[in-house]
Amino acid sequence: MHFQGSPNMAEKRVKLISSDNDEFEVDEAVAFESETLRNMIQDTGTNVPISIPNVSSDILAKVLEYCSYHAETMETHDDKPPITDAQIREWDADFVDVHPATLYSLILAANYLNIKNLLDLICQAVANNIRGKTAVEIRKILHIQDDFTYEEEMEIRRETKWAFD
Amino acid sequence: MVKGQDLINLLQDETLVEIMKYLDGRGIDRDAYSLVCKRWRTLESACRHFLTLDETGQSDAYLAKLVQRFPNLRQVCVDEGLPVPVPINGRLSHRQTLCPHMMRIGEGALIAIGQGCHQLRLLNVSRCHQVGDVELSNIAQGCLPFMHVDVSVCQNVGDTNLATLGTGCPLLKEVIYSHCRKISEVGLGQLVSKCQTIESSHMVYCSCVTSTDIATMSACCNSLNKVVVEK
Repeated sequence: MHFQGSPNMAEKRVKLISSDNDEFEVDEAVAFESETLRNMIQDTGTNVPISIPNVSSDILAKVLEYCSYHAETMETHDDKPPITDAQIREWDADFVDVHPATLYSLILAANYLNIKNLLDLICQAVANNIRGKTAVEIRKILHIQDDFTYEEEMEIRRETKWAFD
Repeated sequence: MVKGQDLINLLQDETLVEIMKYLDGRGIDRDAYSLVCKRWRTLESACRHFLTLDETGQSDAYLAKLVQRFPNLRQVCVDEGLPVPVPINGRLSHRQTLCPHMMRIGEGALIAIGQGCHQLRLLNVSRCHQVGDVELSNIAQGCLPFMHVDVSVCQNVGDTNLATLGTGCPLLKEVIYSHCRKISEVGLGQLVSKCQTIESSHMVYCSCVTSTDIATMSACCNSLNKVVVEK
Protein backbone atom coordinates (compact mmCIF):
# COMPACT_ATOMS: atom_id res chain seq x y z
CA MET A 1 0.00 0.00 0.00
CA HIS A 2 1.24 3.50 -0.86
CA PHE A 3 1.05 6.48 1.37
CA GLN A 4 1.87 9.04 -1.24
CA GLY A 5 -0.79 11.48 -0.11
CA SER A 6 0.56 11.71 3.43
CA PRO A 7 1.72 15.23 4.28
CA ASN A 8 4.85 13.92 5.97
CA MET A 9 6.01 12.03 2.94
CA ALA A 10 8.23 13.52 0.24
CA GLU A 11 6.40 15.01 -2.71
CA LYS A 12 4.92 12.79 -5.40
CA ARG A 13 7.42 11.70 -8.03
CA VAL A 14 6.77 11.39 -11.76
CA LYS A 15 8.57 9.08 -14.21
CA LEU A 16 9.29 10.36 -17.71
CA ILE A 17 10.67 8.33 -20.61
CA SER A 18 12.61 10.03 -23.40
CA SER A 19 12.52 9.06 -27.10
CA ASP A 20 15.72 6.98 -26.61
CA ASN A 21 14.15 5.15 -23.65
CA ASP A 22 16.02 6.83 -20.81
CA GLU A 23 14.01 7.14 -17.64
CA PHE A 24 13.87 10.37 -15.62
CA GLU A 25 12.23 10.80 -12.25
CA VAL A 26 11.22 14.25 -11.01
CA ASP A 27 9.00 15.88 -8.42
CA GLU A 28 5.47 16.46 -9.53
CA ALA A 29 5.98 20.23 -9.08
CA VAL A 30 8.83 20.09 -11.62
CA ALA A 31 6.71 18.23 -14.17
CA PHE A 32 3.88 20.70 -13.58
CA GLU A 33 6.01 23.46 -15.16
CA SER A 34 4.93 21.78 -18.41
CA GLU A 35 1.30 22.33 -19.28
CA THR A 36 1.31 19.15 -21.39
CA LEU A 37 2.66 17.00 -18.53
CA ARG A 38 0.30 18.63 -16.05
CA ASN A 39 -2.67 17.61 -18.19
CA MET A 40 -1.34 14.07 -18.62
CA ILE A 41 -0.68 13.65 -14.90
CA GLN A 42 -4.11 14.97 -14.04
CA ASP A 43 -5.59 12.40 -16.43
CA THR A 44 -3.54 9.32 -15.57
CA GLY A 45 -1.94 10.02 -12.17
CA THR A 46 1.71 9.69 -11.20
CA ASN A 47 1.87 5.88 -11.13
CA VAL A 48 2.19 5.44 -14.88
CA PRO A 49 5.52 6.46 -16.50
CA ILE A 50 4.93 9.10 -19.17
CA SER A 51 6.50 8.61 -22.61
CA ILE A 52 7.79 11.67 -24.40
CA PRO A 53 8.39 10.15 -27.82
CA ASN A 54 9.77 13.22 -29.61
CA VAL A 55 12.29 14.50 -27.06
CA SER A 56 15.72 12.85 -26.74
CA SER A 57 17.35 12.29 -23.36
CA ASP A 58 19.97 15.06 -23.66
CA ILE A 59 17.30 17.62 -24.50
CA LEU A 60 14.85 16.29 -21.91
CA ALA A 61 17.59 16.57 -19.28
CA LYS A 62 18.08 20.23 -20.22
CA VAL A 63 14.35 20.91 -20.14
CA LEU A 64 14.03 19.27 -16.71
CA GLU A 65 16.99 21.31 -15.46
CA TYR A 66 15.04 24.41 -16.43
CA CYS A 67 11.82 23.15 -14.86
CA SER A 68 13.58 22.16 -11.60
CA TYR A 69 15.20 25.54 -11.22
CA HIS A 70 11.98 27.42 -11.95
CA ALA A 71 9.91 25.18 -9.67
CA GLU A 72 12.48 25.86 -6.95
CA THR A 73 12.25 29.63 -7.43
CA MET A 74 8.57 29.39 -6.61
CA GLU A 75 9.24 27.74 -3.24
CA THR A 76 9.77 29.77 -0.10
CA HIS A 77 12.21 28.68 2.58
CA ASP A 78 12.40 30.22 6.00
CA ASP A 79 16.14 29.72 6.25
CA LYS A 80 17.09 30.95 2.76
CA PRO A 81 16.55 34.35 1.15
CA PRO A 82 14.22 34.20 -1.87
CA ILE A 83 15.81 34.04 -5.33
CA THR A 84 15.71 37.48 -6.90
CA ASP A 85 14.44 38.26 -10.42
CA ALA A 86 17.93 39.41 -11.39
CA GLN A 87 19.33 36.01 -10.33
CA ILE A 88 16.66 34.24 -12.38
CA ARG A 89 17.43 36.36 -15.44
CA GLU A 90 21.12 35.59 -15.09
CA TRP A 91 20.43 31.87 -14.76
CA ASP A 92 18.13 31.98 -17.81
CA ALA A 93 20.75 33.79 -19.87
CA ASP A 94 23.31 31.09 -19.02
CA PHE A 95 20.77 28.39 -19.79
CA VAL A 96 20.22 29.53 -23.40
CA ASP A 97 23.91 30.16 -23.99
CA VAL A 98 24.24 26.88 -25.90
CA HIS A 99 25.01 25.72 -29.41
CA PRO A 100 22.31 26.87 -31.88
CA ALA A 101 21.49 23.24 -32.75
CA THR A 102 20.69 22.56 -29.09
CA LEU A 103 18.62 25.71 -28.97
CA TYR A 104 16.43 24.58 -31.88
CA SER A 105 15.92 21.15 -30.36
CA LEU A 106 14.98 22.84 -27.10
CA ILE A 107 12.45 25.08 -28.79
CA LEU A 108 10.66 22.05 -30.25
CA ALA A 109 10.65 20.32 -26.87
CA ALA A 110 9.39 23.44 -25.07
CA ASN A 111 6.74 23.78 -27.73
CA TYR A 112 5.59 20.16 -27.42
CA LEU A 113 5.70 20.18 -23.63
CA ASN A 114 4.02 23.59 -23.60
CA ILE A 115 6.33 25.38 -21.18
CA LYS A 116 5.41 28.97 -21.91
CA ASN A 117 8.27 30.72 -20.09
CA LEU A 118 10.91 28.46 -21.59
CA LEU A 119 9.44 28.94 -25.05
CA ASP A 120 9.53 32.73 -24.62
CA LEU A 121 13.09 32.57 -23.35
CA ILE A 122 14.26 30.55 -26.35
CA CYS A 123 12.32 32.63 -28.87
CA GLN A 124 14.16 35.63 -27.54
CA ALA A 125 17.49 33.80 -27.78
CA VAL A 126 16.77 32.75 -31.37
CA ALA A 127 15.84 36.35 -32.20
CA ASN A 128 19.16 37.43 -30.70
CA ASN A 129 20.92 34.92 -32.94
CA ILE A 130 19.36 36.24 -36.12
CA ARG A 131 19.35 39.92 -35.22
CA GLY A 132 21.54 41.96 -37.52
CA LYS A 133 21.97 39.06 -39.95
CA THR A 134 21.02 39.06 -43.62
CA ALA A 135 18.45 36.64 -45.00
CA VAL A 136 21.24 34.56 -46.52
CA GLU A 137 23.02 34.30 -43.16
CA ILE A 138 19.78 33.39 -41.37
CA ARG A 139 19.10 30.61 -43.89
CA LYS A 140 22.57 29.27 -43.32
CA ILE A 141 22.34 29.34 -39.52
CA LEU A 142 18.95 27.65 -39.47
CA HIS A 143 19.42 25.37 -42.51
CA ILE A 144 16.41 26.85 -44.25
CA GLN A 145 15.89 26.18 -47.94
CA ASP A 146 15.60 29.29 -50.13
CA ASP A 147 12.33 28.75 -51.99
CA PHE A 148 12.10 32.11 -53.78
CA THR A 149 12.72 32.42 -57.47
CA TYR A 150 15.25 35.06 -58.47
CA GLU A 151 12.46 37.33 -59.77
CA GLU A 152 10.45 37.01 -56.55
CA GLU A 153 13.45 37.86 -54.43
CA MET A 154 14.26 40.92 -56.52
CA GLU A 155 10.68 42.11 -56.22
CA ILE A 156 10.60 41.73 -52.44
CA ARG A 157 13.91 43.52 -52.13
CA ARG A 158 12.51 46.43 -54.10
CA GLU A 159 9.45 46.53 -51.87
CA THR A 160 11.21 46.31 -48.54
CA LYS A 161 13.70 48.97 -49.51
CA TRP A 162 11.02 51.59 -48.98
CA ALA A 163 8.95 50.14 -46.18
CA PHE A 164 10.24 50.60 -42.69
CA ASP A 165 8.43 49.68 -39.54
CA MET B 1 18.79 15.33 -34.38
CA VAL B 2 19.87 15.21 -37.99
CA LYS B 3 22.64 17.66 -38.67
CA GLY B 4 21.73 20.35 -41.16
CA GLN B 5 18.00 19.78 -40.85
CA ASP B 6 15.63 22.73 -40.96
CA LEU B 7 14.20 22.38 -37.45
CA ILE B 8 12.80 25.82 -36.98
CA ASN B 9 10.21 25.38 -39.72
CA LEU B 10 8.75 22.46 -37.76
CA LEU B 11 7.42 25.07 -35.35
CA GLN B 12 3.89 26.36 -35.55
CA ASP B 13 3.17 29.76 -37.05
CA GLU B 14 2.52 31.28 -33.63
CA THR B 15 5.99 30.38 -32.37
CA LEU B 16 7.72 31.76 -35.44
CA VAL B 17 5.74 34.94 -35.03
CA GLU B 18 6.87 35.11 -31.38
CA ILE B 19 10.49 35.00 -32.52
CA MET B 20 9.82 37.77 -34.99
CA LYS B 21 8.17 39.91 -32.34
CA TYR B 22 11.45 40.00 -30.43
CA LEU B 23 12.94 41.69 -33.50
CA ASP B 24 10.41 44.49 -33.33
CA GLY B 25 11.61 47.99 -33.58
CA ARG B 26 14.29 47.09 -36.08
CA GLY B 27 12.83 47.32 -39.55
CA ILE B 28 16.03 46.07 -41.10
CA ASP B 29 15.81 42.75 -39.22
CA ARG B 30 12.16 42.36 -40.14
CA ASP B 31 13.10 42.91 -43.77
CA ALA B 32 15.76 40.20 -43.55
CA TYR B 33 13.26 37.87 -41.88
CA SER B 34 10.79 38.39 -44.73
CA LEU B 35 13.43 37.38 -47.27
CA VAL B 36 14.34 34.04 -45.66
CA CYS B 37 11.66 31.88 -47.27
CA LYS B 38 8.06 32.08 -48.49
CA ARG B 39 6.56 30.97 -45.21
CA TRP B 40 8.47 33.57 -43.21
CA ARG B 41 7.52 36.21 -45.72
CA THR B 42 3.80 35.44 -45.35
CA LEU B 43 4.08 35.48 -41.55
CA GLU B 44 6.03 38.72 -41.53
CA SER B 45 3.62 40.42 -43.91
CA ALA B 46 0.66 39.46 -41.74
CA CYS B 47 2.38 40.94 -38.67
CA ARG B 48 3.20 44.34 -40.09
CA HIS B 49 1.03 46.88 -38.37
CA PHE B 50 2.85 50.05 -39.33
CA LEU B 51 3.88 51.30 -42.71
CA THR B 52 5.75 54.54 -43.16
CA LEU B 53 6.66 55.67 -46.61
CA ASP B 54 9.22 58.38 -46.69
CA GLU B 55 9.81 60.41 -49.82
CA THR B 56 9.50 57.27 -51.82
CA GLY B 57 9.44 58.68 -55.31
CA GLN B 58 7.46 55.58 -56.22
CA SER B 59 4.36 55.44 -58.37
CA ASP B 60 0.89 55.22 -56.91
CA ALA B 61 0.40 51.75 -58.37
CA TYR B 62 3.56 50.64 -56.67
CA LEU B 63 2.42 51.94 -53.29
CA ALA B 64 -0.87 50.12 -53.83
CA LYS B 65 1.00 46.87 -54.35
CA LEU B 66 2.99 47.41 -51.19
CA VAL B 67 -0.13 48.05 -49.15
CA GLN B 68 -1.71 44.87 -50.53
CA ARG B 69 1.19 42.86 -49.20
CA PHE B 70 0.40 43.81 -45.60
CA PRO B 71 -3.24 42.91 -44.88
CA ASN B 72 -3.21 43.78 -41.17
CA LEU B 73 -1.86 47.31 -41.23
CA ARG B 74 -3.05 49.52 -38.39
CA GLN B 75 -1.18 52.69 -39.34
CA VAL B 76 -0.15 54.08 -42.69
CA CYS B 77 1.89 57.28 -42.89
CA VAL B 78 3.03 58.77 -46.15
CA ASP B 79 5.33 61.74 -46.10
CA GLU B 80 6.04 63.16 -49.50
CA GLY B 81 8.36 65.69 -47.98
CA LEU B 82 6.62 68.76 -49.30
CA PRO B 83 6.91 72.05 -47.46
CA VAL B 84 3.78 73.21 -45.62
CA PRO B 85 2.43 76.16 -47.56
CA VAL B 86 2.08 79.23 -45.36
CA PRO B 87 -0.24 81.90 -46.68
CA ILE B 88 1.40 85.27 -47.01
CA ASN B 89 -1.14 88.07 -46.55
CA GLY B 90 -3.89 85.47 -46.74
CA ARG B 91 -2.78 84.08 -50.11
CA LEU B 92 -0.65 81.14 -51.10
CA SER B 93 2.23 81.88 -53.37
CA HIS B 94 2.24 80.22 -56.76
CA ARG B 95 5.32 78.20 -55.92
CA GLN B 96 3.69 76.73 -52.83
CA THR B 97 0.49 75.59 -54.52
CA LEU B 98 2.02 73.89 -57.51
CA CYS B 99 4.30 70.94 -57.04
CA PRO B 100 3.15 68.59 -59.82
CA HIS B 101 6.38 66.60 -59.93
CA MET B 102 5.89 65.66 -56.28
CA MET B 103 2.52 63.96 -56.75
CA ARG B 104 2.71 60.35 -55.75
CA ILE B 105 0.12 58.75 -53.50
CA GLY B 106 -3.34 58.91 -55.00
CA GLU B 107 -6.38 56.87 -55.78
CA GLY B 108 -4.63 53.57 -56.46
CA ALA B 109 -3.01 53.40 -53.04
CA LEU B 110 -6.11 54.52 -51.19
CA ILE B 111 -8.31 51.99 -53.00
CA ALA B 112 -5.81 49.31 -51.96
CA ILE B 113 -5.90 50.51 -48.34
CA GLY B 114 -9.69 50.69 -48.29
CA GLN B 115 -10.08 47.24 -49.79
CA GLY B 116 -7.21 45.51 -48.06
CA CYS B 117 -6.58 47.09 -44.65
CA HIS B 118 -9.76 46.51 -42.72
CA GLN B 119 -7.91 46.97 -39.43
CA LEU B 120 -6.62 50.44 -40.26
CA ARG B 121 -6.72 52.82 -37.29
CA LEU B 122 -4.56 55.68 -38.49
CA LEU B 123 -3.87 57.32 -41.83
CA ASN B 124 -1.51 60.21 -42.29
CA VAL B 125 -1.40 61.47 -45.85
CA SER B 126 -0.76 65.08 -44.95
CA ARG B 127 0.81 67.05 -47.77
CA CYS B 128 -0.14 64.41 -50.35
CA HIS B 129 -1.64 66.70 -52.91
CA GLN B 130 -3.35 64.05 -55.01
CA VAL B 131 -5.46 62.90 -52.09
CA GLY B 132 -8.95 64.36 -52.14
CA ASP B 133 -12.55 63.48 -51.32
CA VAL B 134 -12.85 60.77 -53.95
CA GLU B 135 -9.66 59.00 -52.88
CA LEU B 136 -10.50 59.18 -49.16
CA SER B 137 -13.98 57.73 -49.70
CA ASN B 138 -12.23 54.36 -50.04
CA ILE B 139 -11.11 54.60 -46.41
CA ALA B 140 -14.59 55.52 -45.25
CA GLN B 141 -16.00 52.48 -47.04
CA GLY B 142 -13.43 49.91 -46.02
CA CYS B 143 -11.97 50.74 -42.62
CA LEU B 144 -14.59 50.50 -39.91
CA PRO B 145 -12.24 50.76 -36.89
CA PHE B 146 -10.61 53.88 -38.33
CA MET B 147 -9.80 56.43 -35.60
CA HIS B 148 -7.13 58.95 -36.58
CA VAL B 149 -6.90 60.86 -39.82
CA ASP B 150 -4.36 63.49 -40.82
CA VAL B 151 -5.06 65.01 -44.24
CA SER B 152 -3.64 68.42 -43.51
CA VAL B 153 -2.53 70.41 -46.55
CA CYS B 154 -4.48 68.09 -48.88
CA GLN B 155 -6.09 70.86 -50.84
CA ASN B 156 -8.65 68.68 -52.59
CA VAL B 157 -10.19 67.51 -49.32
CA GLY B 158 -13.52 69.11 -48.60
CA ASP B 159 -16.93 68.64 -47.06
CA THR B 160 -17.70 65.46 -48.97
CA ASN B 161 -14.83 63.76 -47.18
CA LEU B 162 -16.04 64.85 -43.75
CA ALA B 163 -19.49 63.52 -44.54
CA THR B 164 -18.34 60.14 -45.86
CA LEU B 165 -15.88 59.64 -43.00
CA GLY B 166 -18.64 60.45 -40.55
CA THR B 167 -20.87 57.79 -42.09
CA GLY B 168 -18.24 55.07 -42.54
CA CYS B 169 -16.02 55.50 -39.49
CA PRO B 170 -18.11 56.00 -36.36
CA LEU B 171 -15.12 55.53 -34.03
CA LEU B 172 -13.13 58.56 -35.20
CA LYS B 173 -11.15 60.19 -32.40
CA GLU B 174 -8.72 62.54 -34.04
CA VAL B 175 -9.22 64.61 -37.18
CA ILE B 176 -6.45 66.80 -38.56
CA TYR B 177 -7.69 69.00 -41.39
CA SER B 178 -5.33 71.96 -41.09
CA HIS B 179 -4.83 73.88 -44.34
CA CYS B 180 -7.82 72.10 -45.94
CA ARG B 181 -9.33 75.29 -47.17
CA LYS B 182 -12.46 73.74 -48.68
CA ILE B 183 -13.97 72.37 -45.49
CA SER B 184 -16.87 74.30 -43.99
CA GLU B 185 -19.78 74.02 -41.58
CA VAL B 186 -21.64 71.76 -44.03
CA GLY B 187 -19.16 68.89 -43.81
CA LEU B 188 -18.29 69.51 -40.20
CA GLY B 189 -21.95 69.38 -39.21
CA GLN B 190 -22.38 66.06 -40.99
CA LEU B 191 -19.22 64.68 -39.39
CA VAL B 192 -20.15 65.54 -35.81
CA SER B 193 -23.73 64.36 -36.23
CA LYS B 194 -22.35 60.83 -36.83
CA CYS B 195 -19.08 60.78 -34.85
CA GLN B 196 -19.63 61.90 -31.32
CA THR B 197 -16.44 60.22 -30.13
CA ILE B 198 -14.07 62.84 -31.57
CA GLU B 199 -11.54 63.92 -28.96
CA SER B 200 -9.15 66.07 -30.91
CA SER B 201 -9.49 68.31 -33.94
CA HIS B 202 -6.94 70.45 -35.80
CA MET B 203 -8.31 73.01 -38.24
CA VAL B 204 -5.55 75.54 -38.61
CA TYR B 205 -6.03 77.90 -41.58
CA CYS B 206 -9.44 76.48 -42.46
CA SER B 207 -10.89 79.79 -43.46
CA CYS B 208 -14.47 78.56 -43.88
CA VAL B 209 -14.70 77.15 -40.36
CA THR B 210 -16.20 79.61 -37.90
CA SER B 211 -16.42 79.78 -34.13
CA THR B 212 -20.08 78.73 -34.40
CA ASP B 213 -18.94 75.50 -36.10
CA ILE B 214 -16.47 74.81 -33.31
CA ALA B 215 -19.24 75.41 -30.75
CA THR B 216 -21.46 72.90 -32.59
CA MET B 217 -18.64 70.42 -32.59
CA SER B 218 -18.01 70.77 -28.90
CA ALA B 219 -21.73 70.44 -28.17
CA CYS B 220 -21.97 67.18 -30.17
CA CYS B 221 -18.70 65.56 -29.09
CA ASN B 222 -18.67 65.08 -25.33
CA SER B 223 -15.10 63.77 -25.26
CA LEU B 224 -13.66 66.68 -27.24
CA ASN B 225 -10.63 67.94 -25.33
CA LYS B 226 -8.47 69.57 -27.97
CA VAL B 227 -9.25 71.96 -30.78
CA VAL B 228 -6.45 73.69 -32.65
CA VAL B 229 -7.47 76.59 -34.89
CA GLU B 230 -5.86 79.66 -36.35
CA LYS B 231 -6.96 82.04 -39.04
